Amino acid sequence: MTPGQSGDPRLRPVLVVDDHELVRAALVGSLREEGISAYACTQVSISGILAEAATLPPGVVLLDLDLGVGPGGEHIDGIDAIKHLRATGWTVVVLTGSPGPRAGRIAAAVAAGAVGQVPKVSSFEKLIGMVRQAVVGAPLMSQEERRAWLDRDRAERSVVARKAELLSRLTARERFVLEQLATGRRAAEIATESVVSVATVRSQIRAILIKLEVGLQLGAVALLRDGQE
Amino acid sequence: MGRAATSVGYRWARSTDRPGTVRDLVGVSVVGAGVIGLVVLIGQSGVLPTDDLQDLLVLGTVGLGTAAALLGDVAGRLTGEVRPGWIAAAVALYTLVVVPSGTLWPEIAEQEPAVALGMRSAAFAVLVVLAAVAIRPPVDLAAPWLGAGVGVLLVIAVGEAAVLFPLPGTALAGAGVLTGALAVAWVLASCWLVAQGVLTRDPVVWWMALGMVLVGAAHLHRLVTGAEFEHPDTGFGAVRLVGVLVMLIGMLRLVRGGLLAVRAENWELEEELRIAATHLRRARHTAAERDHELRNGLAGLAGITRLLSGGNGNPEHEQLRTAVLHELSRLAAMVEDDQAEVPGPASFDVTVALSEAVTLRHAEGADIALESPPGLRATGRPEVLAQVMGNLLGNCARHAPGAPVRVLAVAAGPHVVIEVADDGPGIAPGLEGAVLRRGVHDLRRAGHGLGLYVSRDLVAGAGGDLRVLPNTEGRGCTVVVELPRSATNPQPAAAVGAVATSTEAVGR
Repeated sequence: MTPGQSGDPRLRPVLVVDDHELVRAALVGSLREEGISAYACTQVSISGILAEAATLPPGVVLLDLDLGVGPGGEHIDGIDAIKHLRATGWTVVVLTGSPGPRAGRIAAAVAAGAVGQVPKVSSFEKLIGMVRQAVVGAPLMSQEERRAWLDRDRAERSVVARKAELLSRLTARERFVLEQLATGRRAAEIATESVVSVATVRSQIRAILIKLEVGLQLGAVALLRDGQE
Repeated sequence: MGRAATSVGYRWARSTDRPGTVRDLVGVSVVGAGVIGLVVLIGQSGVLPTDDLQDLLVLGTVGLGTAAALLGDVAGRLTGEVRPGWIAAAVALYTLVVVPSGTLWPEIAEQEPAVALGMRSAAFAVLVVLAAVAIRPPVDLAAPWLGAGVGVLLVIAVGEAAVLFPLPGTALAGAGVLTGALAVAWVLASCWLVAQGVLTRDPVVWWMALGMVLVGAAHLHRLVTGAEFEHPDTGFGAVRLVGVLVMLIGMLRLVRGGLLAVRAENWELEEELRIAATHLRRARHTAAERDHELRNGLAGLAGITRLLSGGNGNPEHEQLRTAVLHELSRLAAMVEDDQAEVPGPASFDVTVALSEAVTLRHAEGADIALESPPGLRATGRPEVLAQVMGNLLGNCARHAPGAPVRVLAVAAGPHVVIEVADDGPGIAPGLEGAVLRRGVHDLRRAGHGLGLYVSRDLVAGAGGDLRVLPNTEGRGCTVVVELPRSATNPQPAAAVGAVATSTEAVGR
């Protein structure tokens, strides 16, 4: 692989956003060795990323979606940065860790405007090849692939909306009871803490099951959990 | 009756049932007195012919009795209690044999009093036995119905016998006394059950027994007044109906108790299930986070390794670097929980994979000779061969420390055959197949006996085979790995493909 591209006017900067320092350093180093002008983004907050991106001419940003936990304990979601980065002329490529359970997140990122995803684990050659493609503006996914991701995102959204609709049927008290159930509390414990009888809690649980249209407490808890994630 | 539902634990709580019991008792007394009064009133007023009223009462008794018997059986099975089954069998025998016998076929009683008396006595005898057994029932759910069946047969047999061997008048009077004694026994057994039910605070038992007392007392009254074999009067029919109704209420309470117990048990199981699922979820979440960290760490290490010794010209360092990278990618593939990214059957260069595996061992000072023609390719993923070679060479180092090892790879028809042979002590003749099983290993050496087993599984998963060759020359151990061979100039594998795409992109 010959670099030989340093004078290419199409060569745009690559900004690597990942909360894992070693990964970030390795990516930047590898890309630089391939003659790509790569920069590590030292910030992982959304505003910090946008500020660092503003110091460079628009190029390609390699964006990790899970940027760890912010100072307030909240999860920083890379997807939130995609729209702003796109608006300032950046091409967004999602860096993915594990493909399976995160497919919904990738779909959301594609829907937000990411042009593709590169796995940071499997092979650096593959990763570098894809970054090169992104730098010169070549598409990273076919129209069909893109449509499949968008369909997937739409399906996920409708499921999420349905779950939110079901959960909105609950009263504040029922919602509280369901949240307690989801943390693994027993009905008797909830009753003692709320100073009501177990029978009251049970009838509340029964009402929750009916409103959420599930047969088992397990289903209600899963619905709450999936609705939150 | 409602408050039981709130406090029911595993067993349907009995003591808390008392207020409901008093209410039910009063209700049944009022309804019962009402029914009896109404029937007597109708009978006297002549609105309905006595025969029709009789038939109505018998129909009602048979209907309620059948329901009580079925419920009792179901409830007994539901709650796992045996007593309701015995009472149910007695109720069934009574409503289906005794009730119709005197009423629907009064001709028999008139023309053949001996036959009727015999059959009636036999039925009563079986009933008393069933009621007595119900006081201290054995644990067998089928036995009550067997008892009832025997009762029916006995009644028929006694009827036949009475026809064949007509008894003289004195014996007839004796049989009458016997029937009376049986009725007394029936009432006593029922009273005993009532007392037991009250003492053990088991309302179900004393409800059912109370019904039996009413029915028995009605019969006893008719026997004492000598009216038993005459056309039954409407008052008797009404009392009997109320008696059966009380039994039905007892059975209903039992079924309700059983259902509540089942529901409570369901509730507890569901709660346990939910809590277990919460724990499982938490554990899965922790594992996923750890995997995420591992993945990131491995990716970072691979990237750094790639950068560190790049281009210092030392071929040995280059080989080591490649081996480390390969090991890292193998570990990354193990952490990967979804292989969906890897498309179809890829292929890889066997010689490259083998030399990487051998180089790692060289660095540890092993004496390994590798012979593999360039360009030899197999279908599948190189990680599998890397792990298998790691296991096999590790075995050699463990079982034949310091002994030279030969690794030979050749193309043989549709296969790539890789031979790994050492000059160690080898495997005892006849054990070549056994060492491939899980947990079988040489007791003198370390290890868990999983290496060869896992290796064979891995190779089989890749569509190949792993064999241990018989130890012919008395020395050394030879393992043969067969992998499906790939076409000489293959479709690009994942990594090769990425490079190809990148050059393509550059060339554009």
